[in-house]
Amino acid sequence: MAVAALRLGALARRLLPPPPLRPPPFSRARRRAAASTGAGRSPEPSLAATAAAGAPPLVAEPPPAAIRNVALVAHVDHGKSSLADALLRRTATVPPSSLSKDAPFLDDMPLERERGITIKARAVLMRVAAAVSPPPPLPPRGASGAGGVVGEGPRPPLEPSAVFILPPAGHPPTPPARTYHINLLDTPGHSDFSHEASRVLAAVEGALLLVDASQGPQAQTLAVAAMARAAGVPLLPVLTKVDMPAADVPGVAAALARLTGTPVGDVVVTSARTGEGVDELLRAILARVPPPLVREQPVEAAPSTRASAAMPSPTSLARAPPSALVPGTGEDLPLRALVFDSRFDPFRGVVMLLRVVSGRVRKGDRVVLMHGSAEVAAEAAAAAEEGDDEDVGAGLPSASLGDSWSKQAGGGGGGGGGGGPSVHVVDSVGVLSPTETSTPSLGTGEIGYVTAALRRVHDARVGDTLTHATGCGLGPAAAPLAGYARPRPVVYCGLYPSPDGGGGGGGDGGGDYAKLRAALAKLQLNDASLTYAPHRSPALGVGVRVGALGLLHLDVVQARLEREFGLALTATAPSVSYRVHDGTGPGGGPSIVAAAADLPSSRSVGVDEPFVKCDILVPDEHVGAVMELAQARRGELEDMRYLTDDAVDDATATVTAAPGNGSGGSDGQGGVAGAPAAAAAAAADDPGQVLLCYWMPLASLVCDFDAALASRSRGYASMSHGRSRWRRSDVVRMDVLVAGEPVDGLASVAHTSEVSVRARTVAAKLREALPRQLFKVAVQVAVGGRVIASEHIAAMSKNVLAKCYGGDITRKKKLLKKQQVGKKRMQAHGRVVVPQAAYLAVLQRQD
Amino acid sequence: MDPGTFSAAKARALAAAGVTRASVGVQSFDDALLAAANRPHTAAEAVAAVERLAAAGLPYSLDLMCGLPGQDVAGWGADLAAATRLGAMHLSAYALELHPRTRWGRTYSAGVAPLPGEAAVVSMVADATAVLATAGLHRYEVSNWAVPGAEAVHNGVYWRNEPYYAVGVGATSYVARRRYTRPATLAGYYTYVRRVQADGLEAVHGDVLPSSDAEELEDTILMGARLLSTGIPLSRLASRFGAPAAAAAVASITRLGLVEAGLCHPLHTPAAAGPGTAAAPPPWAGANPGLAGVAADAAIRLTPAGALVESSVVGAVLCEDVWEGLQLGQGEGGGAVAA
Repeated sequence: MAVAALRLGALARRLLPPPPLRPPPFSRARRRAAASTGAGRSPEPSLAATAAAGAPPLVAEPPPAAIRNVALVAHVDHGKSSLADALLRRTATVPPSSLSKDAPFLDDMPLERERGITIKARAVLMRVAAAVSPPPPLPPRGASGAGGVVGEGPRPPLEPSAVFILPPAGHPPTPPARTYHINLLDTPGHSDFSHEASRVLAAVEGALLLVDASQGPQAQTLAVAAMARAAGVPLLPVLTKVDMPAADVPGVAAALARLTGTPVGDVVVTSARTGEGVDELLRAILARVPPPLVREQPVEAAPSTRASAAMPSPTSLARAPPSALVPGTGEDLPLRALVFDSRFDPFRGVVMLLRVVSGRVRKGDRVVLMHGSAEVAAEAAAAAEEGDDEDVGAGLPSASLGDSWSKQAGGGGGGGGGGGPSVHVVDSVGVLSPTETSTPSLGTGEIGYVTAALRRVHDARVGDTLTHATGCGLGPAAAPLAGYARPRPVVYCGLYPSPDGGGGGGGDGGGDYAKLRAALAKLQLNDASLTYAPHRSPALGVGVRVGALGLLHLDVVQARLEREFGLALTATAPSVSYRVHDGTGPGGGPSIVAAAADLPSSRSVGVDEPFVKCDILVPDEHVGAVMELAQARRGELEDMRYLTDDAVDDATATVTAAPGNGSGGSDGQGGVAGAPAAAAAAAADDPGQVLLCYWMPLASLVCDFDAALASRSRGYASMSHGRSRWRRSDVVRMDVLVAGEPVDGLASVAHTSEVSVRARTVAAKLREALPRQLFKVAVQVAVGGRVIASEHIAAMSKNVLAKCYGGDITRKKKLLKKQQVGKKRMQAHGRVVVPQAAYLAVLQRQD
Repeated sequence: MDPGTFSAAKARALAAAGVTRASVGVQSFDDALLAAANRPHTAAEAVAAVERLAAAGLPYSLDLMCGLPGQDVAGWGADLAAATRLGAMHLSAYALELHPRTRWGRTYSAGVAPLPGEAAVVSMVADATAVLATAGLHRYEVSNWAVPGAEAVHNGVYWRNEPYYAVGVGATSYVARRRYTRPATLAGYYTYVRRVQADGLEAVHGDVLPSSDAEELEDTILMGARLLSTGIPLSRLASRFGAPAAAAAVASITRLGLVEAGLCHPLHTPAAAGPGTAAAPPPWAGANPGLAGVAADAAIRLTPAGALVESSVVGAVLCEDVWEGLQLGQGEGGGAVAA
């Protein structure tokens, strides 16, 4: 079902802020009692004592059986980073002194710490000495079907005492112990970054699905759960923050169990703050997450994955049915390592984070990079769509410009597709324990970093497969791993170097532009979903038009450019492109217009606007409010249906609508606080989930649709958007005239239904933002030459130094200097100087 | 001189020593405002001080302030009336300016009560011109009024950007295109004087460079625009910096539309403003086409409306592109050759 593919799109998941905490439904005593029913846990060893004992040493060439690769996935702010810290502390991976509540170890980007969110996926290797008498590990599930959940159906209950985490602080270890390597991969919870999570899921055998015990499953919980299922990654359900007064452990555990199809007893109950459940979680990872598996032969991406190749869905390691996977050392297979992240180091070149799927990579090996098949397929699909009159994505100038730019920057040498991949020599290999720690090699199942003097950022792209060059080891793999389909940007904005920005001043900003381009090239390496193309604004000078996955993503891109590259940037409001039937396009066809000022003022020329297929999943009590919103934003309802349990079963699309969603929704907002019986009843009596399918103008989505949707649905609507298409639209260009002179950079596009409101807003903003001039100035907004809104800026009334004698000339000169510097930043339109601030008032994103 | 800081004898001594003018820091004739402004004198003491100067035959100027906290337009009118009754030939009226690192700067914000609003301050300045005119004083500088002929000679040197010597703490001199600023503390000043005596001026002020023609021109316009009765005569600008400088001033003012906006007095002869007339250049224009139709006595001269926004007007004029890369030099030579 088409809807199915769309719903799974990682790109499409939008973050919904969590609803406000509701009052605690359970007394503390009751919660404690409930928590203790989870499993017969023995007294926890002292964490301090453990930490003091230190972590066991690294194992050289660990066998796959001693490796566990797990991802942390959750809705934003559900305690991933804190729990990661607790695990790092417990395993003495990081000294307690370098862990603090305000600065999660894995969120080491200053921006992450400041905002309290995870932006980049991060990997860290923990060593745990443990004795395991293993219950049979969970078989991984296929990529499709409703069965892709952990522990569905009857399975022997986990015997917690089968795993001893060492040192056990007083407990003599009984079975012989070994050191396990657990690679913990933290992922961002915000939907803008779900592609990061999807990449990580392709590199692990299990995912810890974290849910805040006070809040229950949220929209992104469902999205990441669906993503993990699609990737065939088993989920290990974990409750977090159970020490919070509002925690509802039994209720949320039940919801989480339903969501994951796990017995309630298998839900691990944790508190990062008290350390509760951390040992149990480590045991569960060792006992319930399968060790790395090796596939016999490179397998084509699963058909279901291929069907959605154009979507940024996690194509993963193309986990084939379990029968195709054979546990083993993998050493007898050619090297294949999936690059799941990379960054640029000025001294060492590209640092690739990778997961070795088979074979072994050693320092000194000669290696090549192959493009992931999924990406190649997606690009081929995009190319094929070029002729498709209905698809917007392929025709958007930014997308195509971005690609051509990449090619130019790549110089043809980096790609795996064309004239033979270039050979590089591995100059360092290591693990992240927790920082880069050099090792002689990385073997099958291991996660670590590799550098190979890759000097160009496009030499190694995320999703590439690292393999040996001919004549090295077992030689190159027959085919690359599936890699990832690159998510397509949906939102664009202009970024321009600020004239007074960091570059020492003076210049015309040309140097900063070069710096901006170089920085973006490096950022793109680390952020595959980012696209950019050069753009010149009459007001803001030369900059770039950046395409991103959402508003937060845009914001983060700007912030990273500013912090990590020392750039001072000005950002314009997010926008979309239009298709104009003016016959000036290729072959006399329509042309694509990105700048509003280039849109014809004549209404006789047909203009197409990009519309996006949007699926909004919402509990039925909020359907009215959401429909009202969508219609106010010019959405066109295409379909609406109630999702019953049957529908859930038969539509692969609706994996996200698993029963847990309903219970989470009702739990969170149902007003059933207080009475446990009522809570239980609410959980059972699932309110219906309604799937609303709209065609929405992309322009409506990029404003503040997310926030509006969240507020109208009290945080319980989740949205995905998929295919886009051009649609004839009655949009017009709004010109801005200051003192009678048109100001190109202030022109904007609006639909006729919104034009009068928008015009008044623009005029009012300019009245506020334009400094008083020496004269009274008229600010007008016009459509097709007709003024539809106007404001006046009064002349300035007083600006003079009262007293000025000989020595005071320096004061006057300072004032003049200021004016002169200011003028450099401004654009003169006739007699009126329009400062950048005025442009920004109209163009800049309003948060 | 502040009221209460000099006796009748001192006034007589100063007059006898050849002092030709005393400027008295009256500030206000309202005791409450004086107290609020931390002034040690009262209105009565100020009047007495002025009378002592008059008795000694020493001409005097009065300093007043408008825009003080709690002051209103009526109170200001009373101050102006009191000043005219004292028969001053010259009066300086300064609108209060807040500076960030001062007590008032921290206490008040401009235009917000108890400070009078901007409109009130604007009207106070207008009132000064109106009331003082009845006593024969005209406004010749942004903050100065005088009976004709009694304009400040000394300050005029600053405003015309001419050279001057200076003595004392914090004073700046301007000699041979170099501006020398002295230390702002007495101790620092003594050290400075000893160093200049011992090592010479160059050793102490070696870093002070003579200003370029372009800087001189900029300074001349920056300061001269404050002169409201004479303005900056373009003939002087042309003779000091060359006709292109005068033409640049005309071009700037014209492009900005400052005359039409009522901020500057007209530059062109009335005939030149009409269509189709062959505009004659002023005699000092040389062959500069940019000066065609400009009146011989034209000056960069702000109107009262322009004076209120003097900083912005001068800034706008000097930020115009025509000043870039201007060929500057003594005007007479070039003009003479062309003529």
